[in-house]
Amino acid sequence: MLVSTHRARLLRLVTFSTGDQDLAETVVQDCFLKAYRARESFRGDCSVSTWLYTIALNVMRDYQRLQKPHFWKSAGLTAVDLTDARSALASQEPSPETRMLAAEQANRVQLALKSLSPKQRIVFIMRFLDEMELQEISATTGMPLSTVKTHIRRAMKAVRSRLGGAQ
Amino acid sequence: MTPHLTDEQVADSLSGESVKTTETHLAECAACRGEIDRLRASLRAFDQASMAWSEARIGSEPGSKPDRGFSRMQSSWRPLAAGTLAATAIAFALLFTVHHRRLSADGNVRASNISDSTAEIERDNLLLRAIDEELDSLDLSPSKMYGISSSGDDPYARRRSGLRSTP
Repeated sequence: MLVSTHRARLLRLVTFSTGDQDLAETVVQDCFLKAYRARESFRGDCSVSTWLYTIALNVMRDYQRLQKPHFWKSAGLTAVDLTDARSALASQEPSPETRMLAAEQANRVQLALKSLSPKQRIVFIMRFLDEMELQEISATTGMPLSTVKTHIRRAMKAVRSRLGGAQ
Repeated sequence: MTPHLTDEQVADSLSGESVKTTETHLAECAACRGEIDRLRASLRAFDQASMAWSEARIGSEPGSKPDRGFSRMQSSWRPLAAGTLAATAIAFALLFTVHHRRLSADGNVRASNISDSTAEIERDNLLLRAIDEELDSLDLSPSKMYGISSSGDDPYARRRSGLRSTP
């Protein structure tokens, strides 16, 4: 139950922050393995998702240390193809025009994400996709609240610029 | 009219961190409202598409596709598996043939078995007939079966005693 609830969100976070879907699956598996082994130490002073996100970020850091030259670089090599996910949009958007527009918007945000730094990507996904509170992001990433806010602003500026909305 | 919202103000607004001046400007400026709405729509589209992608990715993993291992076996282990199946079939055929010949040679054993089976069937038939007669003698109306009858008669008790007394 724990796995099925959080796995998809964790996989998305790691995939779209590293850009490597294969690595992301390994990271998520390791994350759940570590969570299972450390389940006794979970005292409930934060939400389960925050706890899992923290473990996932630690696993990502471990992998980053092991293969630093290739870790973030691989983001552009095994780019995630959201084409298959358009069927999901199809079921939620009423008309073909809005479906096409939504798919185009999704692709443009994905492209914009690639222009962000790894930390900006993580914070951006946590805030705007997973709708985590700023304090929660700060606790999960270990960044000061002011740093989290700065990353969010810079990330949004870059995304807005890529989407053609910056004035 | 104040100048349009800055990137920071837009980010804060999308994060739910906007201050009063931003809210006031949004209430007056249709362009900035449209910009915020457009960004929200893009983020929602990417949220849905990326989540659908993540769920589909999890759904396509080996653990959720039971036929994947079989397919892999078919391609690489197929000759060996076919040979094993053929050898097993031949071994069973040989064993069956030897066993059949041994039974045919021992006529007494076969006759004895048949005799025992006939006696057993006769005993079973006697018992079945006795049960049938006992059931026919009972008044198994639904009201009495479920104890609705006011007579206090217990058909199950009668049935149990009848079965015990049947020779």
